[in-house]
Amino acid sequence: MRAIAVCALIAIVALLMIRCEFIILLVVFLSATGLGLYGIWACKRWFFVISCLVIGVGILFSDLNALITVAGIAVFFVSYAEFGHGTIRFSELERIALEDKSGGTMIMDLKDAAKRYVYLCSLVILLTFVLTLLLLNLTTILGIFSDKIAESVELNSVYGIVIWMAMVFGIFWLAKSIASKG
Amino acid sequence: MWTKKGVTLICAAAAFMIGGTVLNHYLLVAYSCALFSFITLTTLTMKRLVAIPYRVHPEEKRAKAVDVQISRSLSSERIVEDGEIDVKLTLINKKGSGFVEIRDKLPNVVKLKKGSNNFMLNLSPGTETAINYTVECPLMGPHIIGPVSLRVEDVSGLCYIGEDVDIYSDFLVMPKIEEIKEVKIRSSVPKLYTGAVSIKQPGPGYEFYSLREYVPTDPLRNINWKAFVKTGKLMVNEREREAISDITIILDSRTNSNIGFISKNPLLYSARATAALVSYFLKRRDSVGLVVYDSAVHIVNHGTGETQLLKILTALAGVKAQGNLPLQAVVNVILPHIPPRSAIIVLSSLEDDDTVPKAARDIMANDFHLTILSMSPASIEHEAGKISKQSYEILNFERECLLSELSRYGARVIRWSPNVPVASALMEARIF
Repeated sequence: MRAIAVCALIAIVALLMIRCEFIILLVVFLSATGLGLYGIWACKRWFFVISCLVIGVGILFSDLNALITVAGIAVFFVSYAEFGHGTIRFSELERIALEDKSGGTMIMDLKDAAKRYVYLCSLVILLTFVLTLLLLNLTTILGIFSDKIAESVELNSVYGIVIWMAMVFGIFWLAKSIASKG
Repeated sequence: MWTKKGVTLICAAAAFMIGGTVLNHYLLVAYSCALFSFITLTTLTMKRLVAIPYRVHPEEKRAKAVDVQISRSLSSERIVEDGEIDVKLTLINKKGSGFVEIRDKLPNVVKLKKGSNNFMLNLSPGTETAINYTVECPLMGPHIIGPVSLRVEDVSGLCYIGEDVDIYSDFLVMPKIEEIKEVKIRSSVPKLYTGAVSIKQPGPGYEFYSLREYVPTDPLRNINWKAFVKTGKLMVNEREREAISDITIILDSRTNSNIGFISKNPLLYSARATAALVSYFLKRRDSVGLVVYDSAVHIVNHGTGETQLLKILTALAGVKAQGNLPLQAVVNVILPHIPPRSAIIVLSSLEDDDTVPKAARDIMANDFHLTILSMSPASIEHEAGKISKQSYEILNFERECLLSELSRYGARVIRWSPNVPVASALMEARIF
């Protein structure tokens, strides 16, 4: 889990630094890397959160246009945040399990739970990448079937992505709430 | 329901979406898209939790659920204060798998001695898990363990489903029995059959009392042949009569007897004193009855032996501070049914009851022997700093006036402080 989080972190920073033209941004991203690595290794949640925030803000100053790169960075960021947090969470549970104090929380079968977490989370991240790429390129895909969509200025900008996101996720959550009530 | 992490991610995703739209930034919008996708796909890994008590027959068809059957067993349903109970919680996972958090709700007054009532474990299909823990119960009364709370999260901990399973186990904690060496209280009209108390009168018994001359109706086995050789006259051994006394204990369980703290109040101390007295008298083979008055009068009829001790301890464990029945009403109800000239012990704080002097007069007038063991709630509150010194002194003065009046009627009044063991306080009582 730690290894996955660290690889994801390095991938984001590398991709961002490719187009980075300012030394300040370079320093910021390297600091974020250091903070994040320390937070994951020492199970210090605050350092990890700060590193996520720093990278998130640093994203604002980057200059990337290729949608696949954009999707890759976004998904790498999500996987770094998720696996980093998961590492910290399971490390804390492991420490509680080893302490084995009366009156505290008793943990059993932690390794099985951790394996299941890594497996399912990796699957979810992969599907997230596919879905993100699909949503980011939905205008292009639907433009093949309709000239109006292909030529629409709004749909070809960020507003188009937001509209597709609102439709897709809105329909999904509506269907889920109807299914759960039914 | 969403966890803090889930809410944080949703807010972050919404913030990135709005920020990306406003700033016309592709990467921010892509990041919000990735976050929303991640949240949506993660919630699909959430399984429905179905947890039922063991005794309920489960339904057969349930899709995508963690189906858990739960049962609980206790090592004992009746213990004495400061005793321990071993609790065993059994979980059978019929279907599905998941990381489940389980909490068995305990009463507030109970302490965990060994193990834990809060578990996190990975349930695999078809497995049975037993969770054991031990609790210590320092306070008397009926207590309930349950319900069992279960919580299942999705893989990433963004949302959870919780369910309370209605499995309850009740147990009774009886008051602890303090050892008393001697209480000089007994009836002056003992029952006419053998028991354990010698009353300085000749009659059926085991202890030697005196020698007297033989009369024709005396059994031959009682003849003292050594005395015959010395005196030349037939002499018989006379034994000391042993008999049983009737003791009635009246316990005040009104609302104001609960003044103080949960572990330090007149009712709790009086109940423990009652348990100690009952145990002592029953060991002495006396006949003991209990009267508890709160909003009504609850009577445990006179009896002897271990069975009577258990009956009385069970009744004491269930006392609750409620109601405001005056002592006079209690006396009117019970006096006709108590054996004449027997001993009555009243354990009461004597607060908020104007009928106490009249009730005491009635008891003494009917030739009963009255002992009052009284603890002042004001002293408990004063120790805790809940009332000022002036208020405490006024209350104490009023109380002393009442106790002096009761002493003048002939009742034996024992002022009992919470810091003094009941055995020491009872040494003040004298023989009737």
